[in-house]
Amino acid sequence: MDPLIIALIGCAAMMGLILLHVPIGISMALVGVAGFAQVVGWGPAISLLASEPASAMSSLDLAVIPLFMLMGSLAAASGLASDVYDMTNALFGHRRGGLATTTVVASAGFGAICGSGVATTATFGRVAMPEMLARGYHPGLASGAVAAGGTLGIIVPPSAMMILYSVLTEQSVLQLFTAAIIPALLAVLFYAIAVQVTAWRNPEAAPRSEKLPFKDRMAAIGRAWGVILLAVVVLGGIYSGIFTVNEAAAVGVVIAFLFALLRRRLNRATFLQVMAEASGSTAMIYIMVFGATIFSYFISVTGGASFIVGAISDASVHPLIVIFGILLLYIFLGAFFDEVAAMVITLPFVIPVIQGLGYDLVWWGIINVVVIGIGMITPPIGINVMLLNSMYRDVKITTIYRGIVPFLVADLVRLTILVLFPALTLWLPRMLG
Amino acid sequence: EILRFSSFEPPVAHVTKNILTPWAENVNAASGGELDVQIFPGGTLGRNPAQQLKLVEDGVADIAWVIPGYTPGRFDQGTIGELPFLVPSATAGSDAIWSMYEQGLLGGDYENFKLIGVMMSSPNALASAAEIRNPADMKGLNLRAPGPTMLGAIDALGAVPVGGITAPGLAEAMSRGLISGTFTQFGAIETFRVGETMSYYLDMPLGATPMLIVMNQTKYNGLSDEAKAAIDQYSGRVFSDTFGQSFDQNVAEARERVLAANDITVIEPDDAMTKEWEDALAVSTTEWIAGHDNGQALYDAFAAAIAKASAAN
Amino acid sequence: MQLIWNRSQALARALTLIGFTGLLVLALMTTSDVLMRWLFQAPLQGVNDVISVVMAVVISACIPANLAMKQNIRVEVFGAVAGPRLKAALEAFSSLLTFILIALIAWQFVSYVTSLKVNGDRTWVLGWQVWPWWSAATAMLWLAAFVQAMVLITDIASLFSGPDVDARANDDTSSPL
Ligand code: NA
Ligand code: NA
Repeated sequence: MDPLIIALIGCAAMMGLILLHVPIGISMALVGVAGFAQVVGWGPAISLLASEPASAMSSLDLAVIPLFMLMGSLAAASGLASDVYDMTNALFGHRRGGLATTTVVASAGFGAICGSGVATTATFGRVAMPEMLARGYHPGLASGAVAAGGTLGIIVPPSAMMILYSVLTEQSVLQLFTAAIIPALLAVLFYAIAVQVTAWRNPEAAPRSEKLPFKDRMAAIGRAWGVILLAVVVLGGIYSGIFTVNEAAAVGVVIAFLFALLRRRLNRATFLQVMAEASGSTAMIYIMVFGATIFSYFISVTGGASFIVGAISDASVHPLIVIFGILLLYIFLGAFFDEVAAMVITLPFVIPVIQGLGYDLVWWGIINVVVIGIGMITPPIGINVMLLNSMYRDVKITTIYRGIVPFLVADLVRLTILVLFPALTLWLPRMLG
Repeated sequence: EILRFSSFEPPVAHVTKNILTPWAENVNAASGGELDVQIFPGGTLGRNPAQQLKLVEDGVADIAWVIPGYTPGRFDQGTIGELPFLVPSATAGSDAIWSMYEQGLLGGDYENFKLIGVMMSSPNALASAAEIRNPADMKGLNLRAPGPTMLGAIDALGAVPVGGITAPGLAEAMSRGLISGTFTQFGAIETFRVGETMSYYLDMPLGATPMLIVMNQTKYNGLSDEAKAAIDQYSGRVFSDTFGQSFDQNVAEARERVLAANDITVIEPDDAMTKEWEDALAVSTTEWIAGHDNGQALYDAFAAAIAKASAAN
Repeated sequence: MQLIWNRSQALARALTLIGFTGLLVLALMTTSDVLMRWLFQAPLQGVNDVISVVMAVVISACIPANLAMKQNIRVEVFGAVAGPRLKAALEAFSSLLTFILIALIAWQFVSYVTSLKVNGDRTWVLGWQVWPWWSAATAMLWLAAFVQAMVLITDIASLFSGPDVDARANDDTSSPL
C-alpha cells in the first residue's frame, strides 16, 4: 500500500479512537506503532515502545515540567495566591472594574510562579470569585475574568505548554520564556481594557468598592513578599543569567516547600493533595509526549509531512494565508479536541510547514500557546469554563461564555497583532541572545 | 529497495546537508534505480542522539550517523581518538581510524555492523569564559564532561566535570556559569551559538570525537550484488576521507565567521605551554592504555597511522 | 473486588508519594549545587547524572496514580450525547486500549533493561550502572499495568451492573493547561 494512504488511514484511526474516549496520548501511541509497523515492520515498531518512553523519562529538558508543577501546587497550598490577590486588590480594587482588573493582574502574578492555566483558574476560582460575587459583580464578568485570567498561567512564563512545545520541536525553553514576556504584558493590558469596556458599558456589572485605608493597603502589599520573592528568584534568576531553567525550577520548589512548611500549611491531607495534583499532570504530559513522538515518527516514515510541505510550496500561496489557515484549522479542531491535543497532534505536519515558510519556531511556539489559551475559554470544550462551572454550579455555563466575549475579543486582537508583527515576540530573545 | 538513513542533526546542518545527503544521492544513482536511500534528518526517526545506534539494531532505521561517545562502553576502542594531542585534524584522524578498522584492529561492536564510515571530528580545543592558559588555571573550574576518557585528567587538574549537558544546552550552561569551559571545535561553537558566551579559546588538539556511519548488517547482506556494489563504491576509506576533509574545511570557515562576529581571545600556546599541558593530561593516555586489552599496541598502531596519514595529506 | 480496587488505589498513591519525595530530594540537591557553586565555587559532582536516573523512577512512579484516577486528556463530546450504557461501553473500550499500551510498554522495558545491563551502560560522570534504576522504573510500569487492569475490570463490571459501582473520584484540577 502507498505509505501516504497508510498515513491517511492512520490519521483517521487516531481521530476515531480519540472520539471514542480513548486518551489522546494513548491513541497516538497505539496508532503510531501500528502504522509504523505497516511501513517498517512489527519488530522495529514495538521497539519504539521502550526507546521513546525511556528517552522521555531520562530527558533533563522534560524534567522541568514536574518541578514547575510541584512548585505551583506548593505555592497554592501555602496561600501565596491569596497574598498576590490581596496585593493587587490594594492597588486596583477601588477603581472602575477594580476587582475584575485585580483578578486578571493577580492571575498574571500567580502565573509567574505557576506553570499551569487550569491550576491558576482553580486557584482564583477559590480566591477571587467569592469576593467579586459578594460585592455584587455580575457573575458573567466575574467568571469571565477568572477564566480568561487563568489562561495567563500558560502565557506568563514559566509555562508547562512552552516546555512541552520546546521539547517536541527542540527549541530552547529559555528563548521561549524570553519571547513570551512582551506577549504576556500585552495579554494583561488587553484584558484590563476588556474589563474597562465592560464596566463602562454596564456599570452595574461592576460596582465600585470603597478604597481601603492607606495603612491596610500597605499591609496587603507587604504580606505579598513571599510571591514576590519566589517570582524574583525564579524568573529573575532565569532572565538575569544566574540559573538555568532546570535550576530555577528546582530552587522554586525548595522555596515553595519552605513556605508551605513555615506557614504550617502542610498536613498529611494537603501534602497528598499537592502530590496528587502535580503527579497526575506530570504523568499525563509524559504520556502525551511518548504518544506524540511515536506518532510523529510514523508520519515521517510515510513521507506524509514532506508531502504536505511540498504541496504547499508548489501552490505558492502567501505565507500569511497559510499561517491564518493553520490558525483557523486549530480553532476548528478546538471544537472537537482541546487545543493542546490539537497542537500535539498536528505538530508533525505543521512544524515542517512553518519552517519551510521561513518562520521562526520560537515565534510559532508563542502563537501556539496563545491559541491554546484561547481554546481554554471557547466552547464547546473550554476547560477553564467547565472547571469554573463545576466549582459554581449556580453560575450557568452560558452565562460564563457570555461573560468571556469581551476577553475573547481582546485575545483575537492580540493574536492578530502577534502574527502580523513577529518582532513583538522575537525582539527580546534576539536582544538578550 | 528503500533504505532509511537517520541523522539527529537538522537538515541544514553541515554534515547532514553536505556529506550525508550527497552520499545518498550518489549511492542511489550508482545503484541504477535499485536503491532509494532516504535521509530522515532532524531526528524525524528518533530524536535522541544517544539512541541512534539502537535505531539500527532495532531495524527502525537501516543506516544511522552514530556518535558512540553518547553511549559509553559501545565501540569502546574508538575512544582512542578522544585522547589529547593525538588527532591533529579530521582528515588525518578519519584516515587513521579507518586504517585501524581495515586492519582488523578494532573488535567488539565493530564486527556486528556494516560500517560505511569510521571517522574522527576535527580536534576539540578548550573554549572557556574564564581565562585558561596553564593547567593550574583549571583548578576548581566547572568543565562540561567530554566523556569518560578525559575524566581522570580533569580530576587530576582539580576541575569539576559536569555531565548531562547536551550540545543545544551548551550556550545556556556557559552563560549561567553552570560550566566555565568545554572541549569543542568551531563548527559546534557556531551551530550552537556558543560564541557569544565564551571569551577564550585555547588552541590545542585536546582530543577528537569519534563518529560512525552504521548500517544494519542483515539488511546489507540481503541486498543484491549491484546494490551492495553501489554502497561499497562510496563507503569505507572514500567516505572517511571525504568526511574528514569536509569537516575540517567547515570548521576552518566557521572559525573565521565566529571570530569575526565575537570578542574571543585565541590563545596560541608556545612549546613550553604545550609541554605543560601534555604532562598534565598524560594521565588520560596512561589510564586508557591500562584500561584496554592490547592498549599499548592499539595506541602505537593509531599513532603510527596518524603519522602516516598526516604525511600523506 | 472493591477491596482489591481500593488496595490498588492506595498502592498507586503510595508510589506517587515515593516518586515525588524523590523529586523533592532532587530539587534540594540541585539547589545546594547552585548554592555551593555560587558561594564557594565548589559545585557538587554529578548532579545531572543523579537526576537522569532518578527521574526515570520518579516519572514511572507517577503513572499508576494517573491511570487509577483517569487523568489523561480525553475528548468526551460523543459521550455527552450518548446514553449511559454506550458511555460505559466507551469507558471500558478506552480502558482496554490503555491497558494494552501500558502492558506492551512494561513488556518492552524488560528487554530494554536487559540490553542496558549487557552493554554495561553507565552514567557520564559518576559512572553509575544505569540498569538498576531502570529496573525500578520497569517495576513501576508493571504495577501501572496491574492498576490499569483493575481499572479495566471495574469498567467492565459497571458496564454490566450500571454506572454506580464506579466509585472513582474525578477531580480535574491537575491538568497541565
Ligand atoms: Na506561568
Ligand atoms: Na476550546
